[in-house]
Amino acid sequence: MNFALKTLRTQQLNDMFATISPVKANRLHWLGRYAERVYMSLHILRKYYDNAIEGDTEAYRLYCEKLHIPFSDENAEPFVLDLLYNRSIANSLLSGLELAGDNAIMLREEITSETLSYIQLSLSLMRACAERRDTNIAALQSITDYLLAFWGSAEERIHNETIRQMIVSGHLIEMLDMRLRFDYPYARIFESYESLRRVLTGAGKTYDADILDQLDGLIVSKQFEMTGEHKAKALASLCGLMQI
Amino acid sequence: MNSFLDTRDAVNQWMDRFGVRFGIYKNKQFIEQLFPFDAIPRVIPAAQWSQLRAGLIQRVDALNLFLADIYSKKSIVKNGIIPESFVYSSKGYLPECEGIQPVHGIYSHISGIDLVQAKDDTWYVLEDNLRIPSGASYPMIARTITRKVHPEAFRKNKVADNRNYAELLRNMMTHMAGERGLSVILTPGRYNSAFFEHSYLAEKTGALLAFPGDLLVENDELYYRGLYNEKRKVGAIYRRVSDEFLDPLAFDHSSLLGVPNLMRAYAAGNVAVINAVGNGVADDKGLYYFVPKMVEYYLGEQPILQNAPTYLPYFDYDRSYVLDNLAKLVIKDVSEAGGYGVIFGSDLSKERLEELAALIRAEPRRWIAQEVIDFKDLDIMEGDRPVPRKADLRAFVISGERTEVWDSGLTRFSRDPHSFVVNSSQGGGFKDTWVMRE
Repeated sequence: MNFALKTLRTQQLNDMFATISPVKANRLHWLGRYAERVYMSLHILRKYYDNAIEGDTEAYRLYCEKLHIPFSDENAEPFVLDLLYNRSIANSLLSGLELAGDNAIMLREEITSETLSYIQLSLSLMRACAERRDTNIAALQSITDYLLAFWGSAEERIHNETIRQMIVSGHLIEMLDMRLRFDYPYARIFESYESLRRVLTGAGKTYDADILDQLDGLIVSKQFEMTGEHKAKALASLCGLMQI
Repeated sequence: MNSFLDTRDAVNQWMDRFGVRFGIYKNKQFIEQLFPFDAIPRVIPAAQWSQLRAGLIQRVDALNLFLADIYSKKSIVKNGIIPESFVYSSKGYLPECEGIQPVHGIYSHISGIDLVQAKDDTWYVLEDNLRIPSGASYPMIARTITRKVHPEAFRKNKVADNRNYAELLRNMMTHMAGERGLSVILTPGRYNSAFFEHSYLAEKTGALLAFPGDLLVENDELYYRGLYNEKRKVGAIYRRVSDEFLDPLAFDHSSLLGVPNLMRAYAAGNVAVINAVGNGVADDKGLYYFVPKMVEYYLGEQPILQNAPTYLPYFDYDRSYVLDNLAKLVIKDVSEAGGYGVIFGSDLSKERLEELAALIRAEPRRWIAQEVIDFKDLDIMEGDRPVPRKADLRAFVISGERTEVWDSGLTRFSRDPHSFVVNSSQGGGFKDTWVMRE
């Protein structure tokens, strides 16, 4: 008997529309957020890293301001190490990835071992780089690759609509947050907001409708004023959007 | 041998990738570590396994009948086969379970029977685990990985495919849940040593992994509480929370790991609890002595599997022998588990032997003594060379519509050359177990 082939069939003991608990929904959402945070942070950091190659550490100041990380221009290498690996800095890459891992490990059943494995691979690599104090950001390319594979695997393997909605909402909220913070072009902000809106309104009531209306007002109507006060309001609204 | 050595790093990388971990508490800190895997499999010939299978089914069937009897008619006690006080003084006996008829009358749905093989190839049962036997997930995932990294080993050898454990479990849970509702696996949470197993089995069986706050009992029915506050009825709960923490209204009131009123739902027959509450009376190390008698009494058969030669200080004649031969026996505290409370008389000084003897005289019910079996050592790789180490085998027996033995098991080995203690909580590792097809 070929058990490998048997496991390719749907192996649901309960039905495909089996519910999830509020705690799991919350974890899925935050897994999405942390995974996207690390992906975007690394993607954006590469630009500032490149700017700093010739020794201009001021390039990092803006990155740090936007992510509320303490900035020091005194000594480049320890500073970069902190950005990448310092666990006591909430927005360091390793901190974000470990938080993603903490959520993922609790969600094996929802996301599958294969999907989880991409977070595990990212963590193993990140920790190995931290161990050898590697400040060459090229060494972290595979983390970007693994995180993209994580999303691909999630897309491929998660069929329960509630689970997908939870993890994707986290993904899109974080994407929108980071694009707002780093002043992406309006078209990019709008497209991620539209995607988020579609995901939220297409499923059960897990968001605050009033806050979504506020975001509509800020992002859709104020499209030419996506700076300063409006941006700050949009970011604050995103914080309170989910009700799980 | 070299081919196994070559795959060792690849196997460990895959284990790391899939987060195959085991948690331990050290200096009050929770540490997750890879469960050390040795690439050289244990090989069990088909004929040997056939005998073991028959013996395991027989033994587990007898144990299930014993549990049903003890919590109802108590015939085995009334007929003088087992002393009454011996049963009811067991810590595992729970008066709260008296008179409860579990769904389909099954108490131990998943039995983990620990066996050792002696140098003359004789298999002995060391211990029955009928409460929450752990460990099947590790050989499950190890086989999936070793087939990936070492396919030629399976091409050349006729190894029984063991990747059906999830199916066995799923079928049993389906049978137990019936039309009543969902199947769930109740986990205490991330910081339980075996959390990987809880989540992996949930993934592979399709059962819902439930944390304590996810479940509630209303009108003696168990429900899973969903995201939109909907309640889905639960038909079967595979609980990985031990009895004393399972229901704070019935047992330990301080427990935050259990489900209030679960015992009411269980007693009403509205939910199958896998394994049943109160099984500890049957996997008590003292009652282990009587299992061959249970086989004879309930099944009218001679036991196929042997216990390790065991003495009960509770009986005068055994106590004499034990006290006269303490230095060459292994003494076990019946209330301990996980390899703890195991004392080798040969390791003790004269003074410590006398202290132990005093304890045995004072509390004879608390101890069993066994002859030290000359284990057949298995080779494990240490660096680049094989070295012999003590190993046991935990076989898994599933009792649902029928009793079935999983054609595999958890082979655990001690990494300490001088130790007989193989438990993972004490630093042991594991191997794949090859049951040969022919």
